[in-house]
Parts: sequence; structure tokens; C-alpha cells
Amino acid sequence: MFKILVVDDEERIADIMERYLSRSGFEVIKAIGGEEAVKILNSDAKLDLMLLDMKMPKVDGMAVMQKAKELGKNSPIIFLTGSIDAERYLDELKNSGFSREDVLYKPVDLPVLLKKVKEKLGIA
Amino acid sequence: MHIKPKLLIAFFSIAIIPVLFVGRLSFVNFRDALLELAEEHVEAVASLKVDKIEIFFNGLKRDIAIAQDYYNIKTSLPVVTAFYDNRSSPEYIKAKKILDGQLKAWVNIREELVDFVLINPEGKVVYTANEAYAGHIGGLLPDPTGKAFPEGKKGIYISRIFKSQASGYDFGIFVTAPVYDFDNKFIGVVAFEINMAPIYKFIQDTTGLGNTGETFLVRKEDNHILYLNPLRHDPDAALKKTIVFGGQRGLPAQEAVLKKSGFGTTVDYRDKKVLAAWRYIPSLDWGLVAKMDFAEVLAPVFDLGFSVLIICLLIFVIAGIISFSLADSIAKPIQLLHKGTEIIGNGNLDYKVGTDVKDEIGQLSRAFDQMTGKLKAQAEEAKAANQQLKASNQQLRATEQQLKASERQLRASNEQLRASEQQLRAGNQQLRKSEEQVRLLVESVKDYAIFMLDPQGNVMSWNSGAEKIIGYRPEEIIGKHFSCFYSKEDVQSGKPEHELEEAAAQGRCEDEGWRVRKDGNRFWANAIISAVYNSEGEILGFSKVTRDLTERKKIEVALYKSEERFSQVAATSGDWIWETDIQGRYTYSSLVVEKILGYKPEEVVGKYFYDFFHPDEREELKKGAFEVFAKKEAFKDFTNRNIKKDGQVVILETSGVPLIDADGKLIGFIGVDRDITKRKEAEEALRESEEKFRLIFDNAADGMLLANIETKKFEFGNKMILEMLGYNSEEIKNLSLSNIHPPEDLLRIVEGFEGQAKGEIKLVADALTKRKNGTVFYADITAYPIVLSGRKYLMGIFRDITERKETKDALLHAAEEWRTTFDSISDMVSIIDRDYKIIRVNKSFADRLKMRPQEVIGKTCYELFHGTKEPSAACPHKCTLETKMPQRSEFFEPHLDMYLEVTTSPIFNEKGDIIASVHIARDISHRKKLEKSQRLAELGKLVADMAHEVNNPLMIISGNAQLSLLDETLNEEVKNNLKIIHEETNRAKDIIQGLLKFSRPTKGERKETDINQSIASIAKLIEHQFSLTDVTIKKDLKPGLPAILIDEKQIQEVLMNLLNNAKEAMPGEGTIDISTSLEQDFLRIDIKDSGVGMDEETLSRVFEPFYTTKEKGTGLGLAVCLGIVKAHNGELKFESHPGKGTIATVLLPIRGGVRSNV
Repeated sequence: MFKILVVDDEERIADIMERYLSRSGFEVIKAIGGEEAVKILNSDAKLDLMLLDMKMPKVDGMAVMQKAKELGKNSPIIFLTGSIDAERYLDELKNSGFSREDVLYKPVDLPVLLKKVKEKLGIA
Repeated sequence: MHIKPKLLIAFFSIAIIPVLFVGRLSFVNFRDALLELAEEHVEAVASLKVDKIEIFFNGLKRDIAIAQDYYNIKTSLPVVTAFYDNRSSPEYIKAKKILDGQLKAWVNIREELVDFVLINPEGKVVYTANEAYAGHIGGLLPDPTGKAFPEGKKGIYISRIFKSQASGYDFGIFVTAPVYDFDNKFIGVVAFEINMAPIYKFIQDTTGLGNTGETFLVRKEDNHILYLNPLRHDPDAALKKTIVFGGQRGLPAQEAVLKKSGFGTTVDYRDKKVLAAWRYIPSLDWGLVAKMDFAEVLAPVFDLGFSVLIICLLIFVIAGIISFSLADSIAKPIQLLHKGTEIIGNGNLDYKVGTDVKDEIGQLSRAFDQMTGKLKAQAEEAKAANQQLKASNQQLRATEQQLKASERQLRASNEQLRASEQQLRAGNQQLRKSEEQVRLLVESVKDYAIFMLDPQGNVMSWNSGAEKIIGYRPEEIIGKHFSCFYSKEDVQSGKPEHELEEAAAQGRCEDEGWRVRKDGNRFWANAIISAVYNSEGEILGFSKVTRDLTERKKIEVALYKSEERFSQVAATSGDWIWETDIQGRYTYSSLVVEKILGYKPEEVVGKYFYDFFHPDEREELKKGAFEVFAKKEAFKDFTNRNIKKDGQVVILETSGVPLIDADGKLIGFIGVDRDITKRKEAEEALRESEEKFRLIFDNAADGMLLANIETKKFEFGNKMILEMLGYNSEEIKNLSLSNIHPPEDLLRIVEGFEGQAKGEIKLVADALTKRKNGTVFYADITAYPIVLSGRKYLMGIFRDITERKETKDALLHAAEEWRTTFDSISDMVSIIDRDYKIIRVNKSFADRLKMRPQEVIGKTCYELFHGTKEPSAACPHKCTLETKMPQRSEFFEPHLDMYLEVTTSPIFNEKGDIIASVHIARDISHRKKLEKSQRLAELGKLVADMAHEVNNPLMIISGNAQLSLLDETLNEEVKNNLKIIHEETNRAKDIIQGLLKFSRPTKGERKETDINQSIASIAKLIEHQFSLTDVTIKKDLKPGLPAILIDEKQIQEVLMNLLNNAKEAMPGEGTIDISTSLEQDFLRIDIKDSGVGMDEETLSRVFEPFYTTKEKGTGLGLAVCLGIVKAHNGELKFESHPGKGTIATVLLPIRGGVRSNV
């Protein structure tokens, strides 16, 4: 079973993701906010995918992504954003090996999300 | 004295004295010349060495001044200071390397530079360029003087000479200087360690100073003088040898340290007489001495002296021998001769002196012998003759006695005879003498003709006077009758005969009358004929004496005539003629006096001249007159006031001449008085009128200048013109037009002058006029030609108008300045009157309207600004007219396609009524545009913030709705509701995304793009979408279009939007035509549909955000499209009519530029 880390500072959004992806047969670890996500990353937990909210207080999505890279956890990442932050971070994303295609805009159609997840996990 | 010693003395004197004299003279001259030469030489050596020393030390100072500013030293000294105790540290090694690179070269190249040392502020050596001295690092500078470092901290310092403690050289000095870092903080000292050897070598070089000469340096130390370098006569002297200051030795060194420079003969440190030159070197406080032993200098002189002495002795000996033998040869024969004469003198005439010597003395002795021989023979002859003479003498004496007796008898008889003859001759002689005297007298008289006539009247004698007066020579006239002297008339009347008869009867006849000369001319003669009688009383003849009186006669006639004339003149002259005696009493008065004084001449004669003087001036005039009299000279034009008989005043002008008698005594005056009363009055009147005119002339407020028309020279000017020009009345006379008008205006003024002279013009305005001091002013010159004493003049009247002209110029300038200012205002400024007519506009106003200012004036403001026929209700000018207050408003003026900010300010007349307003319109389009983009930026930020805040709740709403929809158990209604929630959240999301794009168009990446290809791919996508509808797409893409630089994704979004709009405009079926083409610098894309089209209102609002005609539209699509196209410097426009479809056109610049013809 694929293990997916869902990171969002809005607990309700994280819940939606957890519920939907669990139903779709994935093991979901929920992290409310970037700090919690970093804790999980620091643990031995093995992750297959990360769903990262970009704009979070204190430790944002980009920081979590950097930390994961530092720790050598190179699992694929799908970014979620409610703003146009993607445009702002586009260069940084590209430098880290991501593209515009890796960003989904909130509110997201859940089937679209699922399709993206499967794509990333190579099970589409 | 004998001749021999005399000769000896003479010879010696002649031979020896000149030799001694010449010897002495050459000796002295040579010595002086040699000394002078040696002095110059020693001085030159001293000066040369001083110069060299100064050059050397100045060089050191200059070098250290360069070194103290070395960049490397400034940067590395602090480093070596910090790390000198750890010289293996990398920092020290690095700094040392830098320093070595620069400073070692110095030590290697400069012979005298022993070491180049850097010292830290504490005085410790921290660096040496000379590796041999590396041991000094960390210690103090090895400086025996101890001053190099403390003095070097203060400035460039040259230490005293010291004896070296290091090996390798003997004497040295330090040169030190402070080092400051770039903040001017003291960071240490640089020091040169200098080997003195090269300098010593140079100083001790005795070239040109002979075997004894030398140069050396000294320094004063307390009361000693220290020798600084090894001496020629004392090699250990350097820094050891001293002499006492003030002592008798080493005088040149003492002079030098006393800061003196000089030369002379003096005593050196060895107490020897030397020739020395000494110099003081101020920069080092050293003395330098160059000297030579006096003995060596003068050695050649003494050699010469010795030679001269030898020559003298030699000449002395030779001269002695010669003179001795010569004297002997002269004296010996003379002695012999002397002896011979003594013997002969004693009677021995047989003695022979004779020598056979050939010279003159020999000849003399031989002649002497001959003489004694002849003497002897003559003495014998004389003895015989003497005896004969004695006998004849006795006979002669007896005969003489007899002769004397007979002579005495003869003389007595002769005496008697002579006495009787003498008596007879005495009587006869007396008679002859008196006759002769008379004759001579008569003949010699030249001024009288004296001649004798016989009783018949024939001429008997004729003197020289007669010849002169009458003209006949004696031989011509003697014997002729005297009547030939009379005129024909007299001869006919028998006058000559009558006169003879009268003379005969009365003894004398005198007559005066005309006589005739030989040449026939008449002369006036006075003739006296006297009868001459014999003792018996019979007439012997007549004597006639005639005088020529012609000249006297002429004078008499002239006198007569002049007297007559005088009385005529006196009577008829207008002047009064008078005579006075020496007391001034009139002795004569002409008749005219009656006309002049009213008195008759007889009333005047006997009165004194001063009796008629005006009583006020009488005494004064009288005194003056008598002073003139006393000079006995003529006087002239003596003016005096007199009282006429009738009491009137008359002014007379008196002239007179003194009357002097034959003895030179003054007897009175004769003179003339002239009545000048009228003339005086006229003169007075003239003077008064002149004075009046002069006052007017001088007090005129304008300058007046009289110029000669022909020469253009000035004759005179009034006070004002002199003041104006700064000349005095004399100077002005030497000037002409060119002197008072500068060349730049002269031509015009000269033309004006000529015009004025002809009377054609009166005024020359704004004439530039130059003062004496060269300054200029403007004058208006009015001038009139006038004629004075037959000459033509121009009277010019000058008015200084500088002030007026300056005011005028200032006004013009101010107006010009105002106009320039007015025109340089970039706002459109106009002045509008009450009738909305434009009175005046600035350049900017006319330019903006693309009109000329003249065309604008007179038009109404509303037709120009708004293109309307009447003013708008909100016209600020109208408001100003109504409220009398300034107004301001901002609006967009479609007529001009400008945003305008208009202010109007009222202009009042003196009564306070509004007559116009100043209307300033400013184009604020640019500002408005800026404001809009600023607003958009703000909006963008707001939207971005809002998007995040809203999208999260939307996600929760949408997410929960979607999750709920997964629950199969829910009834349809709930499911439907959840679907709607889901869809609407998506719509909200679209709106937010649209807003984001609109407010902040994303910055995409631009690439060279083939637009046809891009359109083709979009069309393909759309066709797929449209497959369920009846809409067909036609493409007409022009091949070969240039690639353009665009963000392809964004442009595709635009095209997608436009195609979607086109599709939605055609609910049923329809066609969309997509075409591309080139339009100048732009690439044109047309999307034409056959849809419903748009009405005008819709068309005008298509780009308005949130304006939509669609049910589910966000109203942001076209606004975003416009934003993207504009960001590409392109254009997006629509052409549409309801029911006739729409053409959407996108223009994109080929070169990313702006369309040039917009």
C-alpha cells in the first residue's frame, strides 16, 4: 500500500484529503502545518508521495520540500495552492525539478487529484 | 769729480735701475695673478663640493619623502609591526615579500644606501631590506646618535655622522621620515642607513688642489669644531679631531661654522699659512673648507724671483766691466792733452802732444800740434810790423796840427756872410706863408663854392666846393664869365651885372635864388659877392661865395605844407587835438573840443586836463596821468570820464606823445581825445546781452555744442555738454564727431549730422555718445544749421536719454522675458474674455491644437476644447465669470483625446469687474494612466491576498460536497444540491483566477513563435471541443509570416477565449474564419464569426471587468485578454453589428515594439 503524506495548515482540508485518499486505497499520514510535516519527515516513516499545501505559516510547502530533499526523501510531490503562489515560486520549483504540472489549484476536483496521484505513483 | 767715476755711476744707473724695476714689477704682477687664480680655484672647488653635497642630501630627502608615501609601506608596515616577533608567520612573510619586492631594489641599486629600515611606532625595527641586518629586527635602530627615530617621528630628518658599529663601512648617517596610514595615523618610521664613504671619497678628492690642498667638512660642537672626515694630513681625524673654537688655528673652519662664506689667506689647523675658501651648508649645519698651502701656491713666484735676481747680478757685472773700459778710453787722451797744454802754456811751443790714436781725441791732439806751430810763425811776423807802424804815426800827428789852424780862419768869415742872408729870407718867407694858407683854405672848402672874378666878371679861381656844387672843373671855367651860373631869365634881366655893380658900389651883394649847374639843373643858392680892393682902393676883382640851399628849401616847403595840413586836420577831425605844458595845462585846443566837451577852445586853453575829469575819478585819473607823464613816453587809449559843459558825462579815449625840446627836456604833450561814449555804451549793451545769452547757454538743461559743418570739429560747448562729456572748454575744441561717438554708431550719426546740416532732418535719436572716460550714453541730438561770421555751423542740442532708453529696453526685455516664460510653460495657457473668445495663447496651446497662435486668437474656447457650439455647463471659465473665484476641474476631453486638468483665474479691471480669465489646461493623461496602473497593482495585491483566504474555504466546501457525493445512499435531491455546491465553488474559483490574471497578468516566458502553427494547434483542440456542435472553423493563414516574440501560452489563452466567445455567439450553426496577415510592423489575427453580433453599448463595455452577457461568465475573460495583448504591446479590437457577426482582431508587433503610426 502506498503511503501518502498530506500536509495542510487547515485541518479540515487535510481531513478531506485523508478521507478521500483512504477511500481510494492509500495509506495517508496527516500533518497539520509544516512543522508537523518536518517531524514526520525526520522520523523513519517511508513515504511514497507528498501532498503539500504551498502557503502555510512558519514552515511553508517549499521549506518542507527542501527538508525532504535534504533528508534524501525523494518521493514525488503534488503541490496545492489557493493563490497564485505557484507563479511566484515557479523558478524555485523548476530548480528543484518540478513544473507547473505539479501544482493543483484549490478548490480542486477530487477525481483530478486522484488522477494526478496515480500518475505520480505510476499506477494510472 | 773726475770724468771716470761720473761715467761709472752713469753706466751703472742706466744698466741696473731698469733691470731692478722690471724685475720687481714682473715679480709682483706674477704673484698677484697667481694668488688670484689660486683663490678662484679654491673657491670654485669649495662651491662645487657644497653643491654636490647639497644635491646628495636633498636627493636623500626627496627619496625618503617618496618612500614614506609608498602604498606598500603604508599597507605592510602595520602588518610587519604586528607580526615582527613571529617572522615565520604567513602574514609577516607575505608583507615582507611585498616590501622586499619594492625596497630591496633600492639597497641593491644605491651604492650609499646600506639598509632600508622600517620601524614601528615604539621604535623597534620591524623590517630591514638588507638581509645582513635582519638581526636588527626586534631591537632598536643601531643609531649611535640616538636621534634618528625620535626626530624621524616628527618629519624628515638627517642624523649626524656617526662611526659605524656594523662591519662593512666606517661612517654613516640615518635619514628618517614618519609614515602615516591612509587615515593620517602615525604608523612608524622609514629609515635609510647611509654609508658616508662615497661622500667622503668625493670630499677627499684633492684633484686640482696640488700636493698640500684638501677639502673637509666640519661641524660646531659646543666650543669645539669637529672634523667630520679624514684629513689629508691626519687620516684619523674623522669625528675625532677637534680644535678649540675661537683659537688661533683652523681659522677657515671657524669662519665656516659661523655660517659665513668667503676666502682668503689664513691659518689652518696645522698652524700653517694657507689659501682657503670656506662655505656654510645650511641644510646640514656643516661647514666646508677648501684650502691649499700658501707656500705651494707661491712656489712658482719664488722661482721667478730667484731667476730675476741672477739676471740682475749678471747685468751688473757686465755693465761694470764695459763702463770701466769706456771711461778709461775717454779719460786717458784727455789727461795727455791737458798735460801738453800745460807745457805749451808755459812757453814751450815746441812741445808735441800728438798721438797716433785714430779717434776724435787723436785728431784733436794732432790739430793742437798744428796750432802751436802756426802760432809760433805769426808771433814772429807781428813783431816786425809793429816797429814800422810806430814810425809813420809820428809823421801824421805833425801834419794834422797845421791843418787845424787854417780851418779856424775860414769858419769866421763864413759866419758873417750867413747872418746877412738870414735877415733877408725871414721877411720874404713870412709873406709866402700867409698867402699859401688862404689858398689852401679856399681850395679845401667843399660846402661852399668860392671863386674869384676879375673886375669884368670872368672867373679867375675855382675851389673844390665850386666844382662840387656847380659842376665845372677848374680848367673848364677859369676865364669864362660868371653869368653862366644864372638862369636865362636872370641873364636877360641883367641880374649878374647888377649884382657886380652893387658889390662894386657897396663892397658886398647878397642874393638868394635859383642858379644853374653845369648839367642844366637848378639849385637854390645863397650867393655873396664881395669886392676886392688893392692898397690904393682900386677894384682888383670880386670874390663870390655860393651855398647850395636846395635841401633846406625843400624842408621849408614841406614844413609849410605840413603845418597847413595840421591845422586843416585839427579843424576838420572828429577828434580833439590838444597840446599841454608839463603841468598839464592846455596850450592849444582844436575847435572840435566844442563838440566834445561843449567848451570853446579859448575856454579850454589855460585849464588843466584833469579839470574836466569826472569828480568821482578825478584824483585817481590824475595820479595815473602824471605817472605816464613822468615816463616821458607816448601813451595810447587812456580811457577817462569827463563832464561836459552841460553836465553830461562823456567818455574820452586819450592818446598823446611827449614834446621834447632840443636839449631833450620835456616841454609838454600833444595828443588826441576821442569821444567813445557811444562805443562804450554799445560795448556795455553788447556785453550785457552776451552775458544774458551766455547764462542762458550755460544754464540750459540740455547740452549744446557748436560744430563747424565743414570740418565737423567743435567750436565750443555749454556747461551742460562739457559735464555730459567730461571735457573742459579747451579740450572740446580739439574734438570732432568721431571723438564723441563710438565707431559702432558713428556712420549713422555722421549721416544724421549731414542731414541736419542741410536742414533735412532735425533729430538724430538714440545717438551713442562717448564720454572722455570712455563710458557711453544715449542722446537725442536736435540740431540746426546757423551762420556765424560768414561760417556755417551746426548747433547741436544733446539730451541724455540713457535712463529713458534703459527703461524702454528694460520694458522690452521684461516683455520679452514674460513672453518667453509664457511660451515656455508646457501647460496650455490662454486668456479668455467674457465672450469666451481667446485673447492670447502660449506656444504650447497652439502646438497642442496644431495651429498657429494667430489662428487661435478670436476663436471661442468651447469650439477649440470641446468642439461644441456653446459652453458646457461645467465650464470652469463660466464658473469663474459667475463666482469671480478661481476654479479647477479635471475631465477627459474626447474631442482632444486628453485628460485635462483646467484651472481658471479671474482678471479684473481697475473697477473690480471681471474682464477675462487665465485658463490653464494641463494634459494629465499620463498621470491618469499611471494612477490606473497603480490602482491595478493595488487591486492585484488585494486579489492575491483574497484568493488565498477565499480558496481555502472554497476547498473545504467543495471537498466536503464531493466527499458527500460519493455516498451512494444519498437521495437525488441532496446529490443535486451537492453538485450545485461543487459547481459554484468551481465558478467562484474561476472568478478569482480571472481576477488574478486581470490584475496581475502573469509574467510568462517569451519565445520566437510561429503564430500560424500556434493557431493551428489551438484550432485542432477547439475543433475537437466543437465536434458536437454545428460550428465549422475555416483557416486562412498567410504563409511565410515572421516568427514573433510572444508568450505562446498566454496568446493561446487569448485566442481560445476569442474562439469560445465566437462559438457562444453562434448558438445554432455557424462558421468561424481565422485569418492571419501582415499589417505594417504588426502581425494581424482576425477571428470572424457569423453570430449574433453586439450592439454599441455591449461593444463599448466588452473589456469592462465583470461585464458579461453570458449566464455563467465571469466577465473577466476579455479584460484578461486585453491585459495580455497590451502586455505584448499589441492591440485587441472588435468590429460588430447586431445580427451581422463580430470580427475580433489581434495585432501583435513583429519586433516587440509599439506601432509606429499610432
